[in-house]
Amino acid sequence: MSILLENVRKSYRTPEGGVSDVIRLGRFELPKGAHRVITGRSGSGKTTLLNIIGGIVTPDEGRVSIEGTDISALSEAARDRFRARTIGYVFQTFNLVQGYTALENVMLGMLFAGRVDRARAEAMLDRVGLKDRVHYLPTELSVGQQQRVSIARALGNKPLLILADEPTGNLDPATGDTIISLLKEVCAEGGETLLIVTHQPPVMAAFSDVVDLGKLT
Amino acid sequence: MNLFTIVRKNLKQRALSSTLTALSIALGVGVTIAILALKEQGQAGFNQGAFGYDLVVGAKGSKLQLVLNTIYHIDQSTGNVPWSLYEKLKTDRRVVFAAPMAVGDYYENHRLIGASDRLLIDFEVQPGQKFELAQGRLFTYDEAAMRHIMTAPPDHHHEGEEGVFEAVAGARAASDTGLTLNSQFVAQHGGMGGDEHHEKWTVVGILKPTGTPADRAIYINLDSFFHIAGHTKEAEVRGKISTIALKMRRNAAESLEWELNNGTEAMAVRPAAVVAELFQMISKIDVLLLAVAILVVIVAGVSILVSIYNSMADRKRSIAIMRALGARRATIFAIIVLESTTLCLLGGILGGVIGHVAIAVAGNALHASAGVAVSPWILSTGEPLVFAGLIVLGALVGLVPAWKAYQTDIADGLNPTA
Repeated sequence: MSILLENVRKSYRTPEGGVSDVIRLGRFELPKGAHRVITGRSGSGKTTLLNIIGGIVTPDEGRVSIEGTDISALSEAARDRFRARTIGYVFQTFNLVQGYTALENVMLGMLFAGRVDRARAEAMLDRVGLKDRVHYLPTELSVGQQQRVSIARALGNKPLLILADEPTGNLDPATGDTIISLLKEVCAEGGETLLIVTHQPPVMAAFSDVVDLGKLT
Repeated sequence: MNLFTIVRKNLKQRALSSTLTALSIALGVGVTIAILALKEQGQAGFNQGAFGYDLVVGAKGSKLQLVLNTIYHIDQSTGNVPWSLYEKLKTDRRVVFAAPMAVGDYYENHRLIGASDRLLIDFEVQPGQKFELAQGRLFTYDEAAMRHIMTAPPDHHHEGEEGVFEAVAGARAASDTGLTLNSQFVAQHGGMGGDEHHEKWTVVGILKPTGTPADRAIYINLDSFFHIAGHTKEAEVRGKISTIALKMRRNAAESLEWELNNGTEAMAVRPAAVVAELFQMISKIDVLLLAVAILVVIVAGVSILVSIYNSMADRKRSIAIMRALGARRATIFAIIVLESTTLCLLGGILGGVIGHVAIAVAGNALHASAGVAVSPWILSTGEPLVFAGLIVLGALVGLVPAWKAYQTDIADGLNPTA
């Protein structure tokens, strides 16, 4: 999946009543199947960029095109549907729904895309090494295992794009390395485009395509 | 997995408040359903009980008391009417048949009704349906002997005279008391604890169930009633009977009723009209009870609103996660409305069970006291409306928390410090 952002600007109103630009991009392009890391200092807008690409946040200006679809021109409901079907999210805090087992968390992602497939959900958990943990609740899993569930959930709908926001931010270095390796592997296997935002050097070191957001704006 | 899976999990996560609010709904719904069914079936049962009696003639007094006493075998008799009135009515061209009755004695709380055999032969229990014997035969009734007793001089006493003491038991009376064919029993004056008479009746027949108060009665030949020691001694009883049930020719009841009510001898009432008046009085009370029950349901509905609304802060993150996974705002809205509606319906189903158990208990008591059959297996016409109302209530109370959920901002909700 190719991503193209043109003249995108996103600003927030400050508590003092002023306006502050968080994102101001001339052109940002990511070819289909690429694995790229976006880095930058805290508050540089990395997460906002990811949310704009994921259709969670709409830019104030500019065009966000994903595989030729201008998602910034879509209605919110259409963007939600587009996100459900084509984008997998991996979060720093995993964001598993409490009270739902690993399997149910994966199927929950499938539900909103309108294609619940229990066998695939089980296969995804198997792929991330949690075959014997499918019926465990998040509270019964280690943080590393929770992030694995999150990756399985992101892959559940056969997405074309995986967006990972600080995926190792809450993990110890060893577990972080394992998770990054896993992400790279599964995306290489499926041909998914992978975009990671992080400020962690080990993650940057694991990829050849690393871009500093500060230099893009 | 589907939206109901999410609803079920949401309810499970708030198990205590879900259970308590569902119980509140159940209580209100149970009472509502019970009131509706008891009123509807009770009224139908009372009306059915009154069927066949075009006019009931008794001593002047309370119309309701006369009807309750004659047809439903509850309350005291209003007094007595002269036998001669029966003789007169029997030959009135407007009357199809007249059935004299005398009451005052009981066997194990089941009323003995001294009656002519015409009552059991000609009386229609339901349209086109007359009394039928399950076992045995009808009692032997001697109208000539009866006339002799009624018209004898005051100083002539009949106790000790040769008499036939036979009884035909209603179905419920037989099953309650254990009376079978050829059983013998003695009567108590005025009910349980009253003085026992010496005379023994023999059960010669048992009636098939009719679903009316008649099932609770034990019918004895009218002449035997006046062979009971003491029953012809008292001046107020001598030459008199308790009531006369009349089957009238078409459109003739009104004129005879008017005639009798303008005389001094007796009072005539149309039972159907009296029952209608009774239920009109009762309806004021049941409307009040119904209003209280509906209020309970509404308050429980509001508690569902509050309970779900208060849980929104805790759910903000899971809603944001679902939104990030692609759930549309409308989907989140629908989940919350489904949740409140499901809670209302679960309470309603439980309330339905409670209501029908209450109908069974109250129906049994009503059948035991007035012989009116009320079945817990019959849905009242209002019951589907109760459930339709619950769905509407559930959806309405879900709107406010659903709107709050609808407005959840994904980025804000995903930030754990938010």
